[in-house]
Amino acid sequence: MAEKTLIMESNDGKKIEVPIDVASRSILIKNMIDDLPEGAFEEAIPISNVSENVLTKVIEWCTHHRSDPPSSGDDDDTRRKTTDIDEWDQKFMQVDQEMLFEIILAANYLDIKPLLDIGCKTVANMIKGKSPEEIRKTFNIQNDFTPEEEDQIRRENEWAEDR
Amino acid sequence: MVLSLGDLPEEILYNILLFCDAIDSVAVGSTARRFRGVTNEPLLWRNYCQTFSHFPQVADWKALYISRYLIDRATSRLFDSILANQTGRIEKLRSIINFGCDAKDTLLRNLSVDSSAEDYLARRYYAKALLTSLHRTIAIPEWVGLRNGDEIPLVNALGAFDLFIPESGFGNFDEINDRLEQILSRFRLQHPDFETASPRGKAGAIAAYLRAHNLTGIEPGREYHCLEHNFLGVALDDPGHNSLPLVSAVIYCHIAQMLGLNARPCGFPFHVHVIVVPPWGFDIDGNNIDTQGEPIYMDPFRSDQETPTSDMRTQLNFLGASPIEQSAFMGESRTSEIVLRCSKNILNSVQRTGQSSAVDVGCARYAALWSSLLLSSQPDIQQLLWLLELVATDFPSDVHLVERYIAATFRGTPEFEHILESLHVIRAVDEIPKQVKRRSSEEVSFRVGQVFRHRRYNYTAIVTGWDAECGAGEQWMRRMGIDHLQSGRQQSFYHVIVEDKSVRTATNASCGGREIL
Amino acid sequence: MAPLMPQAPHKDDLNETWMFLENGINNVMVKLEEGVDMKNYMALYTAVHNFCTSHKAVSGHALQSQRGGSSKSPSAPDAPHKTTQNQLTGNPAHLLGEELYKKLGEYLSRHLEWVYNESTGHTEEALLSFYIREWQRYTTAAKYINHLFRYLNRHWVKREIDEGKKNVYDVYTQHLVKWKEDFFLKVHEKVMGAVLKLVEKQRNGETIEQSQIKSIVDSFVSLGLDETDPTKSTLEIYRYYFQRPFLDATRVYYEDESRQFVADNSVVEYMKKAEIRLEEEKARVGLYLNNDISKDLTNTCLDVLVTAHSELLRDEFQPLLDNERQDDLARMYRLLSRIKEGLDPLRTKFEAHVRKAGLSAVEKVAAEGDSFEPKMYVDALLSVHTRYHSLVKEAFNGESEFVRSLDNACREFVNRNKICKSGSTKTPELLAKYTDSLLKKGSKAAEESELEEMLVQIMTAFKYIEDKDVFQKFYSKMLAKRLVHVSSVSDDAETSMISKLKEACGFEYTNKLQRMFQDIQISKDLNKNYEAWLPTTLLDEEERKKIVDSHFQILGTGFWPLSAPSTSFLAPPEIVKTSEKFEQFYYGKHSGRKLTWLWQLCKGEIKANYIKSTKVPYTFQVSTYQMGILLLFNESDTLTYSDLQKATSLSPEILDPNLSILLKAKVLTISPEGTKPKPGSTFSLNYNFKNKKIKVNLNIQIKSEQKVETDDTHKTIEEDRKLLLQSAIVRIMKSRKKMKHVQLVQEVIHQVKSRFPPQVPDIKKNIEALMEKDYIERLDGDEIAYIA
Repeated sequence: MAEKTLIMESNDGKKIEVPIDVASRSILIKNMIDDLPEGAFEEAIPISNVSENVLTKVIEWCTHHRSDPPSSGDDDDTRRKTTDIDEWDQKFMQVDQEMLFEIILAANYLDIKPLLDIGCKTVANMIKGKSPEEIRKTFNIQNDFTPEEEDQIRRENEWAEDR
Repeated sequence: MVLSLGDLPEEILYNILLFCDAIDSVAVGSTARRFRGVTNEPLLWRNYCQTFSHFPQVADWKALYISRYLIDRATSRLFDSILANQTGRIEKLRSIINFGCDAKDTLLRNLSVDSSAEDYLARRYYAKALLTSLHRTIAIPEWVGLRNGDEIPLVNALGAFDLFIPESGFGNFDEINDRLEQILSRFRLQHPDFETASPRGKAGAIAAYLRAHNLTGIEPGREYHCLEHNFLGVALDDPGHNSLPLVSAVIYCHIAQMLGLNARPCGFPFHVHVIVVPPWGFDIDGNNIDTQGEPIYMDPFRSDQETPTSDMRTQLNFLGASPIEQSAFMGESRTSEIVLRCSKNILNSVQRTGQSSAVDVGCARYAALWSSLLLSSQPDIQQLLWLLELVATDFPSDVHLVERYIAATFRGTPEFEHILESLHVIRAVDEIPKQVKRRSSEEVSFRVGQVFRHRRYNYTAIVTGWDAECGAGEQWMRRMGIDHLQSGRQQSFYHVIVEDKSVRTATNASCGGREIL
Repeated sequence: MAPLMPQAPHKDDLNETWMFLENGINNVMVKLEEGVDMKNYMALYTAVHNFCTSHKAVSGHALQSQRGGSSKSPSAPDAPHKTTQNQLTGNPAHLLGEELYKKLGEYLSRHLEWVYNESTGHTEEALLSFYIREWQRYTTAAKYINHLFRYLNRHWVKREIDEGKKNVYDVYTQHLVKWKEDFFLKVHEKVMGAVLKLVEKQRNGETIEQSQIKSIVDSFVSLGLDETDPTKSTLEIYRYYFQRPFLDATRVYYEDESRQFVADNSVVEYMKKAEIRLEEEKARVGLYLNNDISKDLTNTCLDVLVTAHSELLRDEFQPLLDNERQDDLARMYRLLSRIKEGLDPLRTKFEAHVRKAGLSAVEKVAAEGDSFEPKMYVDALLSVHTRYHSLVKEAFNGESEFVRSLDNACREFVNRNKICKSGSTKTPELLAKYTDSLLKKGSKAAEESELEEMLVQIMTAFKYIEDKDVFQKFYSKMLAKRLVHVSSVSDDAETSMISKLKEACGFEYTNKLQRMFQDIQISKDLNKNYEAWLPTTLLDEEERKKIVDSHFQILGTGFWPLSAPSTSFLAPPEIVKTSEKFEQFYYGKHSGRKLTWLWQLCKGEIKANYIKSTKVPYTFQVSTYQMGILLLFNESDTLTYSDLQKATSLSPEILDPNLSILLKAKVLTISPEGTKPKPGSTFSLNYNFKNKKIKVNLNIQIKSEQKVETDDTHKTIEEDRKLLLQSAIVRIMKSRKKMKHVQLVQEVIHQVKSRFPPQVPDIKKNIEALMEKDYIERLDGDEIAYIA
């Protein structure tokens, strides 16, 4: 029997056919499939916030993880110290910053919690152990504090300095 | 526009920071205004506070984190300094203990330090010493409070013994109370109609529950006098839940009191019972009367039935108790009496069990001596001497406790001077820099920390120190026939601690060859 | 098809966004049956997402203004750092969503107001239909909207809840809360009114739409939200708004019904009705109520249907007992057993009733006069027990308290009734005699199993006997006789009875009985040995002829309730040689033992060769005494009274009745004819003796002996009791050394009550007696001490 599929359409008009179980990694899509009658998906689903190259990337991830157990819900962030990322995902995330943020935003929109977390962990690992100046450099952040504000911040953060 | 970190919505930044450390968050917050808000998010800081093993519910999580962070750092520095320097340890220990429970996380971290660290044994040793001292600092004021006539809960008064015992795993009273609370809530679940029962019905239901769940008494076939049977926390925690009548009675009383029943330990000879008194104006079966109703007696250690008053009287008659003694034996015991009785039981068990026990015998004895000295109307001088000796050898971090609580008790007595003198000696020793002995040559061939089996006596021991030549007294050398040994008194002698915790002396030759590690 | 959606809103514009959303969710809410278009679904979700993620990526503004055009959340926590108050705010992150949440709430309120207005046009069942229809529509929509607003749930709502905000829920729960506040609280009374009317109809026997009530129950249950933990639900709402009025209505309904019914019907009919009603209500829970109500509903029904009428029911108990209405009694038991202390008064009545039945059964036996058989009496006792035992089992479920009442009653009438008005020792005596009649040869119980059954019955009666020692006395006497006369029906039956007694009263009670039984078994072997031994000791044929065939029983002194003969007796020379031989054998085996011949229990057979009228001579079965008398007639056909007395040495008390038997049987004749034997009489052998049987039994027990024996037995019981009391006292004092008088008496009663009910004065008397014998002494203060 042919695999059931549906079609996703990126905001730049590209249509991609995706197996239902892959698409269902997105809780948004999964809920919609549950809610709507079967015939509702003859047309392409407009993914209005995501461009083709990002959507392709996201689907790649979903395909690799299609048979993972469903995430246990949204309440699992009380205790998440570990920033370990499995090898495949690490490789998957070896993209430029722009793409990294795009993936994070898409995962957030499509409600794919594990992918969102992997993205966030990747960013966290880029922050860890760096000084403010190093962080600015890494992420190309403009320092917009006045000297007085800088002074104030330094005083505030004195406790953390002498490691 | 190129997408950058600052373009991510607040909730995603928050999610990223959850994967970072607090210090990283501070750094991010210092880069630009955009990140000020999210890095100050209280929920974020609450999350960082989760790394502490215990913390109060506060409004300002960030402030809490910072204060803990600073204590941790100060404790770590003091701790490192204790390891690095042999003098002035007593004051450093005291400074750490003054941080109270907040220092615990640091100590626990050092206690479980990985064996790859060069000084891991010393770290574990001092971390344990400090932790237990911290627990005693929490425990002792309960007994002092009792002595001063404060209202101290029975469970705390008895649980204080557990805080002396590292094996109990209890570090404060809340943990013990939590255990009891669990029992209580399970009981409530099973007895939804409990409130409607008469006092007698309630007393029976509680006893039946505790007995049915094996929470009181001693399993058949176990030695009654086992040291661990004396400890409330151990009894609650251990899967066998073995406890002496005194401890069983305290468990019973606590549960009963929490359920609104007036139940207290009764100091019956040889076997603590529980006395259950009906509320004024009711008899034990819940009928209205216009006086104080007669109490009943329970023996949760042995039975879920009440013990008939006549049986108890008969037994007292048999023992030949006078009427005045009888009314004392049949009445309720003060909490301090229960503590003293427990103290006696422990000393008794220590004497019977010797060194082999599931709980540390030295710690148990130490606890018994403390409680006895603090609560006896006539403190035993011999006990005082024992205590001071233990402080000097095993518990130097408790010097300040002795100064604060014991010395005060003896103020104005002849012993007072002796105590001051002892403390002074301990402190003086702490201030004197230790002589560094250099290994002269191949003669001292064993390292401190070496575990070996003695050639002649076949005991296993660990080397704790050495002398280039015999430093023991002349008498000892004669008695041991040192001069008849191959190299006589002119060889290196080792101070060793044997498995049974005794301290002995051994020679190069007797250690050699049979080393284990 | 879904209506055309307006263009997607601008994400920063709240009003535009909301307009768009409201239009969409309103379609879901009121026109869901037309279906939701996939693109609209995506557009709505995206609108929520875009609104929540808008505003924020703006950088470069001053911090204060960065919080955007959105109104600041009034409950946002204050800055954690006091140092940041001047120009730099350290205010926490701000998540957007509150506005949407609020607007959604307002929309729901408007919708529910409309629903409420619509509802006012409906009543009764139509209202229920309306409620259910709207509820289903609303909750289905809530599920959709919850998914559409999932982004809000995931971030803003979650954060609010994590911070411990009250009154913020996930969107689905928000729907339920709104329903409860804006609709449910306005209509619940009316809805419940309709529900209760439906239930009443059903109780009245009409058919109703049960599923309606079930839907209402489900809705009420769904509205129970745990304020402290939104993931859990509670039954609070259901309990308060459904259960409470439901129980109240139930109470009122059954109060009315039962009052009415009782007035028009018998109690028995009422009980049937009540039972059916209780069953119906139990079933009702399974049909359409929540299980939670089960206990309260049952209690309410019991309260109204049973407790309220319990007096009436109990008053009917006696008539039902009198008429043996087992089914109705069972029904009453079932009903009253379900209420608190419902059965206690019945037990008292039952006990009295059984006692009365027992007493009157005994009275019927007593009316027969003194001539009744023990069997009649025992049967009377047992029949009452059997009848009520089966009643307890069948009607009262064998409940232990009723068993106890039965036992109390039986103990009462077994020990105290008309027949034993002289004392409670009469029952055990009669019971023992009845037992004897069963175990004696020739009893009517043919089958062994039948006999066993009857022994079990005897034990039932035995259980109630207080003077167990009396039974023991009589039983052992009669056992002795059965054994000595070899008249037991079977060894198995005897052993069975002894082991039953042992089971009931312990080893000590049956010790002697067992020893007696053993003696007989041992004697059998002894006789075998004797028969083997005898020929080896006989000198010649002459001597052999002087030995008669014989069987001996050796009975241990002290175990047997037998005493030495009351008369002297010269054994006839014909058997003396035999008895001497046996003595020789026995003493040879057991030196130092002493044998006493119990002639009064011995018997033998003699052949009447002198009567020539038959081919085979008659055989007389005789006692040794009779043998002694008759053998004298071998020497002379006629003998005087004094001849006989001199030759046998029997006392007149024994000699006279035995002669009378021989005369009556016409073995002898007396002269002068027709007189009683007395000194001076002359007796002759009757050569014309005739009998239908060849074997003639002359060894008949003499009536007066029986009576004397019974009296003696009663007398020895008194003696034994005294000993039992004294030994108990000594035993207790020996172990306690010192004791209060009162305590001692208590302890003695405790120790002996399994044998007989001791009287306190008797105990006191025996304590005095022991003091006189210096076993114990009285100390000051009513204390008694043991003298070692």
